[in-house]
Amino acid sequence: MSPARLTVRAVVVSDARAPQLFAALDAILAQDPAPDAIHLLLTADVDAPDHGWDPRIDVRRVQADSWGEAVATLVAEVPAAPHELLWLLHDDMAPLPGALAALTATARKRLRAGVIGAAQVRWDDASRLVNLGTTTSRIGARRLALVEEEDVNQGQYDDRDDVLAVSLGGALVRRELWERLGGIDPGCDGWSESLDFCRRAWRSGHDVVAVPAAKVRHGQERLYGRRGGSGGGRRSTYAVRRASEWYHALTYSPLWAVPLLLVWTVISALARAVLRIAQNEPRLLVADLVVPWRVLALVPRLPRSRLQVRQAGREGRAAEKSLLAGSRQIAHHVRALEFGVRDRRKAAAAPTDVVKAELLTARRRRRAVLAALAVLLAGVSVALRPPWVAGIVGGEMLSGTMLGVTDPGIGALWDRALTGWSAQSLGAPSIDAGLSALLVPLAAAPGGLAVSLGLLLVFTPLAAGLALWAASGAFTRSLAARALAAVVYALWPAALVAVDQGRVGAVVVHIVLPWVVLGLARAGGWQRGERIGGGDEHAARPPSSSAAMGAAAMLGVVVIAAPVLLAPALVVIAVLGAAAGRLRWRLWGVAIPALVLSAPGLIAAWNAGPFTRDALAIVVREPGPSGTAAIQSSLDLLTGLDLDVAGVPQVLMLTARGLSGLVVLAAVVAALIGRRRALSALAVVAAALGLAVAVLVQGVTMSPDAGSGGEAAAGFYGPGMSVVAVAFLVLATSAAADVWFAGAGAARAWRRVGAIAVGAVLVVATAGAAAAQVWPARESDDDVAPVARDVLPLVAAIEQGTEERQRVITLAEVDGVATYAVLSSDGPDVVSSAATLTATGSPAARRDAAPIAGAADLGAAVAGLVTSSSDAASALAQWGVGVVVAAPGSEGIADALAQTPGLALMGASDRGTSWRIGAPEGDGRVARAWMETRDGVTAASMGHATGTVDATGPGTLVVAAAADSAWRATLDGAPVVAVEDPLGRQAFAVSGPGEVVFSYDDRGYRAWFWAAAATLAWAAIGSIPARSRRATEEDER
Amino acid sequence: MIRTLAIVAALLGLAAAIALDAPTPGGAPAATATFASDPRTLPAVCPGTQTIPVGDIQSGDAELDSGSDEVDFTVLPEGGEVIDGGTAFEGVGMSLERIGSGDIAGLAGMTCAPTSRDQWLVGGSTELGASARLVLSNPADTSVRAEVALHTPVGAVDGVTSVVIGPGAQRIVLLEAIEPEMPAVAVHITAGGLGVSVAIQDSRLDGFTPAGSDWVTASAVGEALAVPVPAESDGGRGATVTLIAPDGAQVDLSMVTDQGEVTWIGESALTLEPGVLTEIPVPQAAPGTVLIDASAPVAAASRVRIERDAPAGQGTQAYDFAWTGSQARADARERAVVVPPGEVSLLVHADAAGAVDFDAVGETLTVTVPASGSVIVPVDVAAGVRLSSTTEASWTLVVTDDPGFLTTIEPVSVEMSSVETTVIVGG
Repeated sequence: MSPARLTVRAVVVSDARAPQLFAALDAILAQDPAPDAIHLLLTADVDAPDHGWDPRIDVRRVQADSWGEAVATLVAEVPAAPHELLWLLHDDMAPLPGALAALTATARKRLRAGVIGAAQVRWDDASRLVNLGTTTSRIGARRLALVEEEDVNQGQYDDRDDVLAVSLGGALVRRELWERLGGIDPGCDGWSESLDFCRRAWRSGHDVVAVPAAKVRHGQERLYGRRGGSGGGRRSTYAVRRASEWYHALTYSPLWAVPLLLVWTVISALARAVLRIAQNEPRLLVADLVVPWRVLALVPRLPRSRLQVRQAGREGRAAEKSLLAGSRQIAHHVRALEFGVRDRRKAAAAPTDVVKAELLTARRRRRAVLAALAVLLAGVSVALRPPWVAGIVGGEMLSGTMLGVTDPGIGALWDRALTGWSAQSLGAPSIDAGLSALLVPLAAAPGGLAVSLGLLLVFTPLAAGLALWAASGAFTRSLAARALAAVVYALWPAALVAVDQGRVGAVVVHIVLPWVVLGLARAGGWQRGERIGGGDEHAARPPSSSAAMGAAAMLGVVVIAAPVLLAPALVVIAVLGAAAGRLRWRLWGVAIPALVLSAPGLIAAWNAGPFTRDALAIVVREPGPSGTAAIQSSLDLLTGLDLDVAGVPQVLMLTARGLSGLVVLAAVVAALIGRRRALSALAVVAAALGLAVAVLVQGVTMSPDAGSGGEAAAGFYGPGMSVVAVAFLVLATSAAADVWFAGAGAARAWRRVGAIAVGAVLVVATAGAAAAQVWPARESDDDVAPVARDVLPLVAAIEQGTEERQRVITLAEVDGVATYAVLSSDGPDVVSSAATLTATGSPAARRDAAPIAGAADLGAAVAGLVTSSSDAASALAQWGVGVVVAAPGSEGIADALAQTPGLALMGASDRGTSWRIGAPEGDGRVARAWMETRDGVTAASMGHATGTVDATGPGTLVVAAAADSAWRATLDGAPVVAVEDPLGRQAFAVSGPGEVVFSYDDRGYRAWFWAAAATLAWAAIGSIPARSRRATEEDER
Repeated sequence: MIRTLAIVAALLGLAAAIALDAPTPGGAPAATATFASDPRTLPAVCPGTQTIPVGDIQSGDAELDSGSDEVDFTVLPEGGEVIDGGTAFEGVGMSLERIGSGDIAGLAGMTCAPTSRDQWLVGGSTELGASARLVLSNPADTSVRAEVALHTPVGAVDGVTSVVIGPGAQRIVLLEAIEPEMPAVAVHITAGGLGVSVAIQDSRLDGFTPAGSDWVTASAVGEALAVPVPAESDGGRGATVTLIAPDGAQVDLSMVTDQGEVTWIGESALTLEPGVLTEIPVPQAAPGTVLIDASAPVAAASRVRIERDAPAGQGTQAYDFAWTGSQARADARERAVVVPPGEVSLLVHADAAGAVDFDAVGETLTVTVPASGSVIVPVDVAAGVRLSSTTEASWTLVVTDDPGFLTTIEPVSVEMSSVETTVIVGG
């Protein structure tokens, strides 16, 4: 023990905003030994207590903006006593008895100790630790508390002494150290100041020691944002704290690393932003995004802070360095924090062992049934279409007259999605991305879109069945009811028709819709818990914001695939939100991505005159393949469709049709007698809306998939009927949840017998329906079949891929009529979605636009080809058609083409005979875009909707694509004026020589595209069930 | 209570949805457009000289030689383009070949055949002693493929013969190689592009005696046809009319001469089986016209034989014959011939009595046709003059020569009227 007498000067700084001030003062006065002097520094006026201030306290009013400044003011005013120690205290800190004694004891023992910190415990529970030393990472941007917050103090840290930093609150600081270091760095903005001061203390050759035995209660008023009454919790101070950590890192890093750290703040903020989206923490998201700007604002203070660090010296540098946290310690820290939160949450909800065992049994049973269901549905999926599976495995793609080819590359899909320029026919501006953006992830899978889309179509029953299994789990825990509902949904007739015909949009809706329902149920906390014991319901999990985000993302996918479903979805969500009480905004928010995705379509519909046929056709448009199906009345729709199927025994067909009828019947009965009336009413309303949509869309004429002049399909009833199926199955299964356990005694027995009987009938009907589908002799008008991925003759396909991007016309003779198609890709690509056209052939994406040039405009030239007219070839070359292909079997056309002037035979193969228009190479080649000058014609190098060409002089740039206001061109960066082209192509008057760059640049489209992509991505990330560690941010002070 | 009301309201909504009438199905077919090509002049090809079916056999005895020194081959007008063995014209041309002796002695003439994508040629025989030599000519700059379908009195021959003809080339198909021993044949030729020009050389030999030779050219296909009978018919095998209906038809036959209608031998109403060739004798009469009224499109041609003493004597008879194809009775297109040298007359029929005007390069020639009749008048126009008419009449030039040679030069239309092509935007 040092013989010298130590002088302790207690300094309490108050801004008059902490309610603990008087308790804190009392606690200091009660210390034994008492401090030699007690100063209360008031930065704001405080009313003295009724009996006046204690005479032992020296109360001073100081002008200071911060705690550190107030202390500095005092130190400047009061002369130093020998061996003086400053006991720095906040107004929300109350030392426990013996705290000062323990601190001074250490001060006597450890002569080099410049800062002696106390253990901070919670104000209301002294057994819980708040802080006992702090360290930081080597870079300094992450502060680590050395105790786990809220840890129960069982003496496990009693041997702690040297630490990198302690909180200055409650700590003794030697006055000479304080003066040598110049006090606290005001640049720290109040949060990293302890860490900064302690690190400077180490560097100046002093030690920093934590004294676990000295305990100080801490109200943490500032951390929780309670000072000033904002009461925003820890999240309200997050941005400031995080910025101060970065500031600390900047202060202690080498000078050359400062710019790198500034960049790193941005990267870190963006990465954390993604995490915040996943955690559904919008406030922290904003806070994280603000952090880099806050750091930037602090940079002017940096030189002074860095100077102070340098002035502290280098004596204790090695010791300081050894106390910094390594990567393992940081990992441990993070893990401890995250697992601690999870375990605490788990422990809070832990059921009793008996319940746990029951839940375990239920889970085992559930998994067994799910596995069996998956195997069954996978088997049915394969049995329904063995040739498809064989074809996909053999490297072929699924294709059909409606489906087109299914192997567009990821680049083509992305170009279509990003630019909004549809390459169908002669090109057209589109309202939205349609399926193209949705298909990009599928195209990125191994094997490309052909494999993933093929498997999606093959395994639609499996995917749909499992989705409904999941959704029905929110409404019943009866495994039999769920499994049966899943099989019925998997075999839903409208969905199987959609698969047969390759209607990708309807298939996607059928698979995704149950997940929307599940998400909505979980978001509102309406899902049923597991039945345990005699039928008691085990409390289910609380409402989930991640589920709401998941529902929002899935609903977005649904309205992409079937825009018409926005209307029923909005009705259902509006009702659910109104019924959700305080969760209403969470539920209403589910509609946001769907609304953003639908906005361009709704705007286009409004521009088309809100109540016209065109507007209706836009609202109910079908992205991807569309085609006219045999019309079905509402009764046909509810009783399993009136289809033209041969070869299946009549009894099986009737059973299959009866199944749909039984589902409808069961749902209506459940609505009448079921207990969950609100749910029943909503489900019936949804089904009615779905049915109305299914019936009415059949009367709407869609925009043609093949572009202007192509066949326009009628709307398809599939998406509407998927809504009906989900609604009715949810309704029926939710009633089944109650029926088994309702009543008592004989009544219950009778109910169970009845339920078993109904179940048995449904099982028989389902088996019949399945048998009817997989019946070997079944003959139906399936349109889709696996074919080789190369559709056009190779010589033709190669020309499409060159810089000139030649178009190909295919000609086939069907019933004496020459049928032709204009192709920009190897086969008719329909899945990426054509542009939407109005009945007059003008693009729906433009208000009051003229009809756009399309394949129909090439009719005369095609007729000329067939009659060997001499000017046909040049007319086609004007539209960038470089290859003409006569389909196999159309010999008459091939013969006509052989005699047509301007065509040169390229070759014949089993995919057709090809003729070239124009020169095979060099100047005379046909191109998609070219520059016409006095010197001649120069072909442009062209991408999907962009290209460049070197102009040798003034002339005309012709882009052989339908003219549109969004085409732009520049000559050496200066805009070029568009001119009218008599053929309806896009043309520009180029004024002189230079590099001409042109592109389709639809800014309005792009804005909506990115808005939709961002909201959808936000919802998708937000649906990740990552819970935020809200209550446990790092300790501060 | 509110919830029960909600259920009731929802169920009523469902009932309303069920009660919705199925709408009128939407959808619109792809744009079908029919385009008429610009009218233009078709190239026409005269196939060249006839060839002796068995080859040129020199016996040393002029009367027994298959070939002949007296060959007089004329192609008019001058200035045609030579393609292989033939001559092509942008417009109307004519070839006339007089062979005085040998196996194919006789007069064989034809108007150069315009190219066509779909044509029926009725005539020829593949019996022993007869040869039917199909000559396909392609005057275009690109090759063309033609498909030849053969029809006989026992119906269509299975399969088609596909022939590719190079640019500016000819291809020969001997029909007896496709189906021998057929007393009568008809060929249906389809080709792409501008089509092909075709003619059949029908040459017959009766032992050592020439039995005649002529070119068979395309017959019009239609429901109201006229078939000129350019010489007096004997009521037996000497004058026949051959008919074929691609899809079968009911036909009603009649014959008119300058004396009015002639009584038809036997039943004048016939049923033609699809694709089956039917040969009917023509009633005994002066030169005239056989009229055909059919329920479905038919093609027809007449063959008239003229007797003469065989050069070898011994009382045997030699023959020459002329094939004349059917013409549409209501064809108002301009059709033309080039007048050949020699003794030429004009056989004209019109459904309506009155004057039929012919234009002979500025000069007008008028032939008056009696009511429901047919008239034959001599023509006094210089050889090589283009003779044309736009009147709705059927007509042909009849060329005769000593010692009993006969051929007909039939008018053709070389103006390709606009062809209608239907195109549709498809997948």
